[in-house]
Amino acid sequence: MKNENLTIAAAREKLRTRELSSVELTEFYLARIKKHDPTLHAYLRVDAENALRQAREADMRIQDGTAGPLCGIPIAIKDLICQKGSVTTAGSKTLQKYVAPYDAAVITKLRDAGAIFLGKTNLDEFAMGSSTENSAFAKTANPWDVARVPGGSSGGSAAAVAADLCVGALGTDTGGSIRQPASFCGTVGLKPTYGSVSRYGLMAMTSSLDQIGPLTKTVEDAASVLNAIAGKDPHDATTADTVPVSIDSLKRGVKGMKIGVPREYFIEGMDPEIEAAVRAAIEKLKELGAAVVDVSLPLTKYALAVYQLTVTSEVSTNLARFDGIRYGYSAMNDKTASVKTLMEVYQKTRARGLGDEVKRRIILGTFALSAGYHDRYYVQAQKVRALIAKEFQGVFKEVDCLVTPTSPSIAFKLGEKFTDPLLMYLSDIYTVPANIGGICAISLPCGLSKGLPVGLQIIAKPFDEAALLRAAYAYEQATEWHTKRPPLN
Amino acid sequence: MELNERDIEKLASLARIELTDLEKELFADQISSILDYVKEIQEVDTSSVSEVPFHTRSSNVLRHDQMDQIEDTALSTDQFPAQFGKLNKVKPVMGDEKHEE
Repeated sequence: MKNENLTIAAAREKLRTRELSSVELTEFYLARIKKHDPTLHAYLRVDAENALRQAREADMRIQDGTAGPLCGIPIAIKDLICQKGSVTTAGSKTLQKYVAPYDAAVITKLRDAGAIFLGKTNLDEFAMGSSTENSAFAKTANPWDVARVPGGSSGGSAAAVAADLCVGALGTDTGGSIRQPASFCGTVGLKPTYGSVSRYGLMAMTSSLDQIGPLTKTVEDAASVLNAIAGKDPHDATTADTVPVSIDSLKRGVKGMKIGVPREYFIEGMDPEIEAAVRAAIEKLKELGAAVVDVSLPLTKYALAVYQLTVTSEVSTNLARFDGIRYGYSAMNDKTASVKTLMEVYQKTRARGLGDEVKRRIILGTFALSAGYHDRYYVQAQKVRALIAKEFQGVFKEVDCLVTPTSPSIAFKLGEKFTDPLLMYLSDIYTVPANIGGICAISLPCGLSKGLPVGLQIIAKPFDEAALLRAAYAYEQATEWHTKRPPLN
Repeated sequence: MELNERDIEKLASLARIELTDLEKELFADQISSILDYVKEIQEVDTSSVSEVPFHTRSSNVLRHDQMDQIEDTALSTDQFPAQFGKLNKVKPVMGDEKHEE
């Protein structure tokens, strides 16, 4: 069966023409997961029985002509997104046995579109990290080199797509958690505009920045998944009405588009091979008819600091709910904790249930919000954040998109940055500005350096995913980087 | 901004997390170096931004105040760490125990 590396578009066509059934396709992925996942650890749980049941239903719907746009397509879901009746851990010991009592809005939408849920993918605990090493359960390996990280925090989803253990996947992006792993694993990763996709049923890390989006093999597939999950949701008051991206409009090319190259993303001392790959991509876009201009975003240098303070502040409040009272791990039930008072329940539950990175962020956030420091840290960060958003607004009056590297490095070795949080945070330096600015951005493959993928980031103004995807599609189709696959045995 | 182990202990107490001595030492070091990095935002002139801004389109979103039937409540209530019938059982909030603060 020639089913390797199927895109959503190709799988849909095979299902439509009955060359393949959804059950066969699902069995194909289950077999690949069985073969490769013991090495990669992309998945935390695979639900074969449920997936095959969904696939049988999809085949019936394809037969009777009631198939939705993703009918019969097997996908993977980051384990931060609630799926009713399934264990949803957030990569945390505190939720090791937690069963989600309801479906996230994106799960409902994907169910309605007919998608098959293969299983839940690994992540940094509560999406806090850039390497997936902060998972309480497993360290995911990069399919291109198993001694290296897949990026994070959606590292499981990126590795699963890159290793062809699913057709596509959902991740979440608070500061680069879709785009950076997409870059490290050689896949496409889209962070939609804040407010495009409902966060209902997504475990909150930083509510003002978190956004769900697709990791796929092609730009067209990213558009298909975005169309299925985007739109207003009464359960998430920050969502907006969105216009679906027309797949045909992606093919219009970049002629007449104006693309900006922000000089702050190309700094002295950056990895020369990454710079060369990104510069070559810019030349390619020029060749394709785009007008390329240099632009400047001087406040970029503050984005990571603003991000750190915003994230930790919101984490310190959002994660207060993990207190051992209503669900999840509780020291009350742990004989070795021997708690006597309510205070001890809180303190020991959180001490034992949460990992180091989570604790570190909660404590830093508690500090940034504390009396006496609140104005200097949290409030100042929010003011600078407003200025960064304004700076983006200004530049988008001049250009349609911005083109930058996704990450300052290729995938690093497992353990290389694990003990130095600040060094780890710096791997998000090119991705956080898009979150801080509330705008949309995508990473797509644009080269190989030392045999490992390099990511190109394209950024566009709020709710202009159509322009973003159009530029990304034009570049992708003019090059062959998206066809490169990791050398798995 | 340099935080010492005593500061970390106070913050951890506010955040209701018990820390080991080793964690206090490690976090004091790491959080101090992060604060050293983020202090650069102090140099930005933000006088043009008057108050804490909303970052999303800041219009109120309201819905009707209606009762909703929740299905499968047992999926939630069965996960209470300690149960008393259908109720969630917790340690006394006010009792004889001595509070830490």
